[in-house]
Amino acid sequence: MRIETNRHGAVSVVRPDGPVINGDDAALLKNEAFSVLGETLGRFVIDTTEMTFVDSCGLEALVDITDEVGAGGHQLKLCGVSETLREILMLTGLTSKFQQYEDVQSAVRSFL
Amino acid sequence: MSTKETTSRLNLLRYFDRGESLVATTGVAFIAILSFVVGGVIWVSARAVDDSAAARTEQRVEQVGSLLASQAELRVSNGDLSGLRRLLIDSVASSIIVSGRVSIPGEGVIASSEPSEITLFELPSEWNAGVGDQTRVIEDKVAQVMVVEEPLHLDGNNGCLLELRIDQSEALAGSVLIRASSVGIVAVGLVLTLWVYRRFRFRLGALAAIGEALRLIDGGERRTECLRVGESLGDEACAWNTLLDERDELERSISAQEIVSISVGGGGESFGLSGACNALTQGLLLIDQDSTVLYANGAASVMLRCVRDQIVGAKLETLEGFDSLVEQVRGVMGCEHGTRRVVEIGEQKDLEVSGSVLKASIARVDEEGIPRAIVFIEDITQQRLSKMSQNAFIAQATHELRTPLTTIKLYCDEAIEADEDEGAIVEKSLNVISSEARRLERIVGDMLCVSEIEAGSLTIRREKMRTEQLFEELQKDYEAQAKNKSIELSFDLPPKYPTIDADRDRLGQAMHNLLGNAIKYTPSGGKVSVTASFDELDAMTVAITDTGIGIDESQHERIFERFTRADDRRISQVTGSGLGLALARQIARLHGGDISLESEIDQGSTFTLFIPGVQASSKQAA
Repeated sequence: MRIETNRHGAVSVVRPDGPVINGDDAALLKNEAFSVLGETLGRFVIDTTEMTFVDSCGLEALVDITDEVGAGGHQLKLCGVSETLREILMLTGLTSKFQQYEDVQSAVRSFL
Repeated sequence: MSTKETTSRLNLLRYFDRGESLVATTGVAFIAILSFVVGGVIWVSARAVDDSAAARTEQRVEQVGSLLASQAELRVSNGDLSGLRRLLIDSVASSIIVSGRVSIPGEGVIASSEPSEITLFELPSEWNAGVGDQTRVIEDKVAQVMVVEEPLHLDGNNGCLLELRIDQSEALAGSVLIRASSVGIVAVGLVLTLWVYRRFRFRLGALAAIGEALRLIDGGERRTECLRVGESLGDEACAWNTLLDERDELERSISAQEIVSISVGGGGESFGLSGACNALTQGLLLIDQDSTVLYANGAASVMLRCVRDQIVGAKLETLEGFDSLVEQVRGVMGCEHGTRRVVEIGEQKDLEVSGSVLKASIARVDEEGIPRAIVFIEDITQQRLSKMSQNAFIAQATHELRTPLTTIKLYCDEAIEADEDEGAIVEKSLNVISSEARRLERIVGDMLCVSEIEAGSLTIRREKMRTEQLFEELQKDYEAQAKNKSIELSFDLPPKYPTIDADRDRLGQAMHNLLGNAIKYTPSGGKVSVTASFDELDAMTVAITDTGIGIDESQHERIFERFTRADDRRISQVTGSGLGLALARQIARLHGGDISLESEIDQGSTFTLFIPGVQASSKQAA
């Protein structure tokens, strides 16, 4: 899996290009998110448009990231959440741990 | 414990506060009763001893009396008064008899142990005096003597009376001593009890009061004023009250610590004020007068790029890159309570690449006379960038509007000044004016669309439309412009066009923006091509390719943002509002499609517009 990080103004958008379905992918996502978190003071979004599915490792990575973001008073912002991912979050009771936006622009605008 | 019971106990406690003691009072009463019981027992015993002594004395007296009576009868019968008198004197000397005398009732005393009492020195020749047969015993309690009257029977009716006085004081001496002892014991006991009571009553009272207070505590009473005991009860009472005071002080201290913990420290709690502070997206610092950080919430630690535990307790000066904040905090500390200052921290340039702008509001708040500063930190980087973009947009929009207006004004003047035979000049002027007016219309349209996007009200009105008309208009509008820039504009269109269900104006607007950009950013001699295709599901794909300056990969997403243009020095002289691509993508997405970009610096770019959901087939259109 490859992860792209683009900057939208002062907000970084982390965009995995596929599903997070093993420990390596989860670690990669977590490392990238933690790195961006430190650089941007928490102004970052995960664009899940291509991340159509996550396994338990991916879910754990997302929870770890939102917990880390939560230390700064924020919640992890997800955008482009697929129906499958939304269902996974709902079934695991984790929906409330994330802020979800339809697209990158909406998520970036939320930092205004 | 019920209220009534508590009140009752409180009353009891107040009673003990007056210096009384249940233990002492009860003890005194018990000892007094015990003393009286002991005294009574002794008294009764003495009475028994008295009775016993009296009985023994009476028995002895009867024996002595009988013996003396027989001896006296004999001597009187013989007329031996001298012998009788010696008998009495000897009896008095050798026994318990105090005195004795023999008298003839009605005549006088014929013999006595006290010679002075004798009134008849000779027996009368005859007398007649009845003396009865019974011996009489008379007790004189006052004189503590017993008088025994023993009748002496002589010949005929004559008789005498032997009267013996016996001293009982010696016999009763033992019982008197016992009684005195009992009284003494009772008296001494009572005196000792009273002395002990007076000496220990307060100390016992204190213990009793403390005991009662402990029972109240056990019953749930916690108010110190209800649990205090009178300090006049002694050291124990003072110590108890001191303990209560220390408890209050400790409770206050703990409460204060909890408040401080909740309000200024602790870290990690997810409840109360501390939890609320940690939930803030703004940073919060509490700084002491010596610049020591007393509290930092999670957001502050993130914004200051420090580990939270390391900030708390550290000097503010140790934070790198926050010199202006330190300076302002010192300045606020030097001012009076309530002073506020605002400072911006961070680099103002290259914000889009890196860096952050923080706004710190510093206020001095005194707590019990100790100056402290509260620092409220906001991350305003995105707001700052947004404002910068909007300012740039206004500048660009003004420029964009002014350019066609200037052109229109110039050509209007030229047309007005043209002579009647200069119809070609007028025609050219009108064409330019018309073209610039359309350009103005597009700019204003874009700005209106931006307003709608900002308000979230941008919508599309789908209708059946022929796409070939769209491409024909596009070709017509941009052919002249391309020709003027010596750009080769080509259209690669399918032989047949389907009818699609879309918003004609919006779709045209999006394609105008894409093609206009392609021509605008392609230098003279370049090529721009428009390729349209439809798949079997009638999805439309329009690729607009140019051989222009190209766009750096890092800018690919950014250029689709509103009020944003690529960060490229090569386009600084090219006017643009930074809205076209944002609008085009928004329109594509409203149709369910999207715009993608492939580009390389100096190689050119390809913007691909994809519109799904074609409603009519190409066959029908044909």
